[in-house]
Amino acid sequence: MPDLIAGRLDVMFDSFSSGYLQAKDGKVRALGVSSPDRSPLVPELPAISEQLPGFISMTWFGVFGPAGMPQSVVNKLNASFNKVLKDPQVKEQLAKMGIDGIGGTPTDFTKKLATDTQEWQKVISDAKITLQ
Amino acid sequence: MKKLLCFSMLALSLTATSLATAQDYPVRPIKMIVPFPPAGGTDNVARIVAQQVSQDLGQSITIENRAGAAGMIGADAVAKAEPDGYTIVLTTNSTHVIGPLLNPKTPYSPTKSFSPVIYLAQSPSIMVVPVSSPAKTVKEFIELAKKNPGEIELRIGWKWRYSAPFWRAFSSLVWNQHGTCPLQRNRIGHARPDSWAIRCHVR
Repeated sequence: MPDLIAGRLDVMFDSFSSGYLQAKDGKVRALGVSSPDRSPLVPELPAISEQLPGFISMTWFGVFGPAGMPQSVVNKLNASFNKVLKDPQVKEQLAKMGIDGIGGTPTDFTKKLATDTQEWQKVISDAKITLQ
Repeated sequence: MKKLLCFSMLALSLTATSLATAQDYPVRPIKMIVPFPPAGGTDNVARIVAQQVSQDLGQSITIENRAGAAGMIGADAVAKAEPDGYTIVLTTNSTHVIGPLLNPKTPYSPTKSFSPVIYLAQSPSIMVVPVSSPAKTVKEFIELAKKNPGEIELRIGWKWRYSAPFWRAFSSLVWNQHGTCPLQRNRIGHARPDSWAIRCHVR
């Protein structure tokens, strides 16, 4: 972020919680959010998709253990995290950072991982983005 | 006969121990690795939920920040840990989707090396420009770029995980082009080892 603040960059896509704070402090100028709709935290900031239909992209947070964890242990952890996500205090603290709690089963997560990987695979191979 | 009895008792007690371990979980503190620095977005999320999960499970969750290589170091540490539920990772799609797609040297497989526990939360990205930029809206930025064909430079710093695919999606929508956007390390004379830059060629 220091490079952008110094004015040497043209544009940057940052995590909402970080970029939002920098913009609020007047260190950078925010042009839009990459969610389908505007964020309730900054309703005056447009969603990029309003001006660029189809441009939607989210960052997600998830919990994993190593492969081979006993199912009963996975289920117990899963149940606990799901319960915590329903807590109003937790919801509020996350919302303040522009984060939406989701939850679900481990299988839901496996499916989400597969779908996301397919989508980004296409974006990255189309652009021929490679590390050098 | 005595040996057989001893062996049977040993086998029985071992079985009993492993049964107790899975069913009584957790019986000791759990380590939650956050593969990003303290006070960042992921770390904040971890601290918010870990406290409550600790209370719910009756065992403390210790958060350990293990940053580096855009989260891959911390994620790999968990991939290689004992699969007993006492080492878990709270991470983002950076380590489990985008990173592995961009980096062929990723030391783990996002699907084979891990047990998914829960899809916790999601958050958008935010598109920002320097305060000195003439663009005040997304539309203005696009016009500016179109009027200046050549190179648009996007320096990602260490946050390539957010910027690279976005830039590509963005530029494909804007210019409908399929040129290359090479991800280059330490371009433009920047000394930081984690610094990356993308130069997308705009026609």
